Amino acid sequence: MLETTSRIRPLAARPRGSGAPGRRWSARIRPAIGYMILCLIALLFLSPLIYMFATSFKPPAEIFSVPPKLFGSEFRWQNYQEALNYMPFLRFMGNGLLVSAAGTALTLVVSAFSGYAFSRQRWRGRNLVFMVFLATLMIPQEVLIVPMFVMMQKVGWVNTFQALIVPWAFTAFGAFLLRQFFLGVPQELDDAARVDGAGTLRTFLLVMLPLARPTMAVLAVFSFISYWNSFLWPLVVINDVNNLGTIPLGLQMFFGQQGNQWHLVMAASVISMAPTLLLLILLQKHLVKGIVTSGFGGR
Amino acid sequence: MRKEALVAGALALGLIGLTGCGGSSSGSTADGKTAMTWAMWVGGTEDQKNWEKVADDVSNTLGDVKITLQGSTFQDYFTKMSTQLSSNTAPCLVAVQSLRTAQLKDGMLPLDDLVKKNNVDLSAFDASMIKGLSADNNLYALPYDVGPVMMFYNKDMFDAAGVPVPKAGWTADEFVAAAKKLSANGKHAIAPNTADLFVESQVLAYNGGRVLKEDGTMDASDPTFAKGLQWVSDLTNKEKVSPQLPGGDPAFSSNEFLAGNTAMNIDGPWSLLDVKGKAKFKVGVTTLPAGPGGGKTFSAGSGWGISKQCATPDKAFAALKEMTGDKVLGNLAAAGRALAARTAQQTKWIDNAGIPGVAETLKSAEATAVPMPSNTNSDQLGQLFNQYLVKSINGQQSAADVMKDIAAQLPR
Amino acid sequence: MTLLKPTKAPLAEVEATISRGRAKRKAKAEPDAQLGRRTMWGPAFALPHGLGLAIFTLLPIVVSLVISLFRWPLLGTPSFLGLGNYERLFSDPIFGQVVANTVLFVVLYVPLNLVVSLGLAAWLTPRIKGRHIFRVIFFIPSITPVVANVVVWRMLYQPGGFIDGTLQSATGISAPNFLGDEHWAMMAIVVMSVWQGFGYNMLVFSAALDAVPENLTEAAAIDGANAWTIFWRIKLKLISPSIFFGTMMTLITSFQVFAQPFILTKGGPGSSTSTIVLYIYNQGFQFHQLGLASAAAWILFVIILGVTAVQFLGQKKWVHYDA
Repeated sequence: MLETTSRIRPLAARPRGSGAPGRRWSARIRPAIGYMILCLIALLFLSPLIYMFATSFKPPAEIFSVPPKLFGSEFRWQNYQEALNYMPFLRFMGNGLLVSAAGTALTLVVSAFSGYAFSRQRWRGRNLVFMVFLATLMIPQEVLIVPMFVMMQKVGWVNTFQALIVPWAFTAFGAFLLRQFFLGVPQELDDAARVDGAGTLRTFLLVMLPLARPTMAVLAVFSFISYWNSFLWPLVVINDVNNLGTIPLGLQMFFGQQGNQWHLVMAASVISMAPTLLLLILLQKHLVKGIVTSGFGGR
Repeated sequence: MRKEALVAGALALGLIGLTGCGGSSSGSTADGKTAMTWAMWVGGTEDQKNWEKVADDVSNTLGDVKITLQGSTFQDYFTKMSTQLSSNTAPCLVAVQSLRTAQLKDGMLPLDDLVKKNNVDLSAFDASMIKGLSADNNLYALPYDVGPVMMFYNKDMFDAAGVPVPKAGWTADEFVAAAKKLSANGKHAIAPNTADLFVESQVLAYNGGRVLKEDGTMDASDPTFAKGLQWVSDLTNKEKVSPQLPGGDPAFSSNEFLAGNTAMNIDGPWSLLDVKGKAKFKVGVTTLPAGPGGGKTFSAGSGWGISKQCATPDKAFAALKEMTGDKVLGNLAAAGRALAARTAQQTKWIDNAGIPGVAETLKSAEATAVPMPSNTNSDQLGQLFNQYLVKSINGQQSAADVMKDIAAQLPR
Repeated sequence: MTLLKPTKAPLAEVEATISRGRAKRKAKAEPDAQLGRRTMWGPAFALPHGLGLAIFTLLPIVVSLVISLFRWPLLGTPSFLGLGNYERLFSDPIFGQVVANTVLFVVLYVPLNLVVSLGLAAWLTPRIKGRHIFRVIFFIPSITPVVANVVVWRMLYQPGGFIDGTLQSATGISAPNFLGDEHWAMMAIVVMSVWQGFGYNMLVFSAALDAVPENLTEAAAIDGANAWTIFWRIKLKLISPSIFFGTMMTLITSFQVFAQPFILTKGGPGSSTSTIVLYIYNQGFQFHQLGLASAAAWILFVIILGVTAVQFLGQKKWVHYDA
C-alpha cells in the first residue's frame, strides 16, 4: 500500500525529497520495473502476430518444430507468391476494396444527411425517430441473417455485390457520430451562410460538410474496416466465392483443401491484415478520437 | 424549396441504386451464343485452370454456347449449392457427388427424358455411378468419375520400418500388426479420418456396419457400425497407432500423410495423382483392411446435372453430353484428374498413374465395392461426424454414445 | 478536430431521452431553441437513412418473426407451423446446450474483457512513455479480420503448435489438446476472444480516465488516500457511464460469437462449443431449416433484450451521470 502511494505523490503535491531515502530509490526503480512488465505484456500480446509473420516465411516442413523456432532454415518469400497463386487472392482483395469503398460511400452519404437532420433541423417527431435509430443499435446483425437472406432471395440479390454492400450501410452509428459533430458547430455559421443567401441544401453542402471532414474520415475508416472484415454475411450470401469472394471468405478457403497449407495460410493472413493495419497506423489518432467521441467503434 | 428537398432525397436514393452492380446471370453473350454457368468444386488455382479448360473446350466444340466456371471449395460446395438452387441465380450446370444426389435433387432436373431424346448410351458408364447419381428412380446427373475408397500408403516408411508392403485383400489383424511397427519416433501408422465417406468405408471394410442402408435409409444408431467405430477409435486410444484429433478437421488425415507423419491414409482414386505429385515419398495403394463380416468398400463418384432454373435445358444437355463424352473424360483420365466414369477410358488413367499395383488394387477394390446410397441428410451426417467423432477418437466418449448423440440430431 | 469533443455515448443518449423529466439533460439533448422554423428539410434529409434502416433492419426483424412460425425449407414451399419451431427448440437438449454454451462464453468473456481492458487502461496513464504506441498495439487485433486472427490461434492451439511446442521444449510435458478436448475447447475460444476483443473497451476506458479532473484526485491524495482508494472510490465512479456502456456493448456482441467456434472447432468436440449464432447458421444454411433458425434467432434476440433491460434497470445503482 505504501509503495503505491509513491506513484501518486509526484502528481499530487510533488513533495520531492520529502520521503525517506529508501522510498526515493523505490520511486525511481518501481516505474522502470513496471515499464518493463508492460513491455513484456505487450510482447506476449503480440506474440501470435509475430509468430504468424515469422511462419509466413518458413518452409512448409519446418512449421511444426519442437522447440518452435522463430525463423526457418530459409527465408521463403515464395510463400507469398504461392499463396497468391493458390487462390485468386488478388481478386478477393479487389472485391473487398470495391465492396468496402462502395459501402463506405453509401454510409457516409446517408449518415451525413441524417446526422444533420437530427442536429440542426427542427421537425415534428425528430426525437422519436432518433430514438428509433438508436434503438436499432441494439439489434444484433446476426439475428437478421435469415430474414435478410430470404429478402435477398426475393429480390434476386443472392450472390451479388449489392447484397454485400447495401443492407449494412444504414447503421445508426453514422447518424449518431455526425449528429454529435453538428451539435457542436456554432449557430453563427448557419446564420452567416443564410445572410449570404444560401438555402438549406447549399448551407449543408458548402458550409457544413466541409467542416465535418474529420468526423466523416472517422466514420469512413470504421465503416471500411467493418466491411473489409465482415464474415458471416458474405459466407451466407456469396456462392461464387472464386469470383465474388472477399478476403475473409478467401482465407477460410485455405482450410479443408488437400492438406492445410499452413505456410500459405499465414502468408495470406498477413496479406489480409495489411490494409486495416495500415489504416490503423496512418489514422490512429483519428480512430482513437472517433472511439472516444462516440464511445464505440462501429461494432 | 420543397422541390430542392425532393431532389436531395432522390439523389441519395439514386446513389443507393447506383451501387447495385455485378452479378451476371444466364443469357446471351454479345456474339449470340447461349451463356451458361457451371458450378463445380475447385481446389486451388491449378484445379481451376483444369476445369476452365474443359469449359472452353466444350464451348468451342459446340460452337453455340459459352460455359463459365463458378468454383468453390469442396467443403463449402454443397452448402453453397443448396443456397444457390434456392435463389434465382442458380447456374445451369451443377456438379454433384453421388452420395449427395438426394440432397440437391429438389433443385435439379431429372435427365431421363433428355437421355432418351438424345440417345445417350448409359451402359457405357460405370453402372454403380448411374445408380449413385439417381434418386427416386430418376437420373439427376451424368457421371464423370468413379472410384472405390482405398488405402494409400507411404512406401518409404514401410521400407524403413522393415514392414512388407500390404497386399490387396489384407486383413484388419495384419493391418494392426503392421501399424504397431510403423508407429514409433513420434510417427503414426494412420491419422483418424472423420470425412463421412472415408470413415464409413473404414467401418464397412472392418465389420460391415453401415449408417446408410442399401435402400438409402439412414440409421445412425446401428450397433454394428458403433462397434466398427469403436475399433477405429481404439486405434488411437488402445493401439496407439493413430494420433489424437486436433479438433474437427476433415483434412487432418491427408495433411499428416502428405507431411510424412503417418504411413497410411484412406482416400479415393480421384486424388491419387494429386497426392503422388505433392508427396515427397513413394506412394502405393491397396485395399482397406478387411475384418470379419466386412471386406467391402464404398464407391463414390461425381457427375454433372442441370438445375431446374436453367432456361435452356436442351443446350445444357448438349454441353453435358460433350463434357461426359469420350474425348473430355479421356483427357481428364490421361491428365490424372479423374478415373473416368466411362469404363472404356479408365485404362488411360491407370496407365498414367505410374503406380505399381494400382490396376490390381483397383480391380480387387472394385470387385468388393458397393455404391454409397445418397440420402437427403447425408450432408448433415457428414457435419455431425466431423463435430462428434472427435469425442470417441480422443477417448472422451464411447463410440456407441457418440452415435447415439448423432442419431438424436438427425431429422426423423 | 477542435470541434470534436467527447460527449455522451449512444446509450446515455437513449437514457437521456427516456428520462425527459430531468430538465438539465433535456436542455442538452434538444438544441431546438437556437434553430429556425420547422421545414420539410429535416424529414427529407433523414429519409434515405430512415428508409434504409426500416427496410434492412426493422423489416427483417418482423420477417424473421413470420418465418419462425413456418416450416421454411431453403428449397421448396413453406408451410405454417404456428409455434412448432419454438416447441421443438425448447424440447431439444442440443439447443439447451447451445444456449448454455453461449451463456458460459458470455459469463467468462465479459468479466475477463472488462478486467483486462480496465486494468490496462488504468495502467496506461498519460505519464507512461509511449502510451499511444501501447494503445495502438493492444488495438491491432480488434481491427484485423477475425478470420485471420482465428486462423493464427488455431495454429497456436494445434498439438505440436506454438503453445504445445514451447511447453514441450521447456518442461517436457505436452500441452492439452485444446481444441480436441471438450473440457478445454471453450476456454481456448474465450482466451482467443479476449485477446482479440478488449482493445475497444481499453480505448474507451482510457479516454474516460483521462477526462477525470486532476484536482479531484489531487485533493484525495492530499487527504491521504492511496492510489488504490483513489482508483476505486473516485475514478471508477467517475467513469461509470463508460463502464456501463462498455459492458452493454460487450454483452450484446459476445452473445453473437460465431467466427471463433466456426473456424476453431465447428462447434465441437460434440456440441461443447456450439453457440447460438453457429446453431442459427447451421440450421439455416447447412440443414436448410430457415424457420427453425429464425426461431433460434428470436430467442437470442429476446435474451439480448432481456439482458439489456436488466442492465438499464440495474445501472441506477452504480452509474453516475452527473459528475
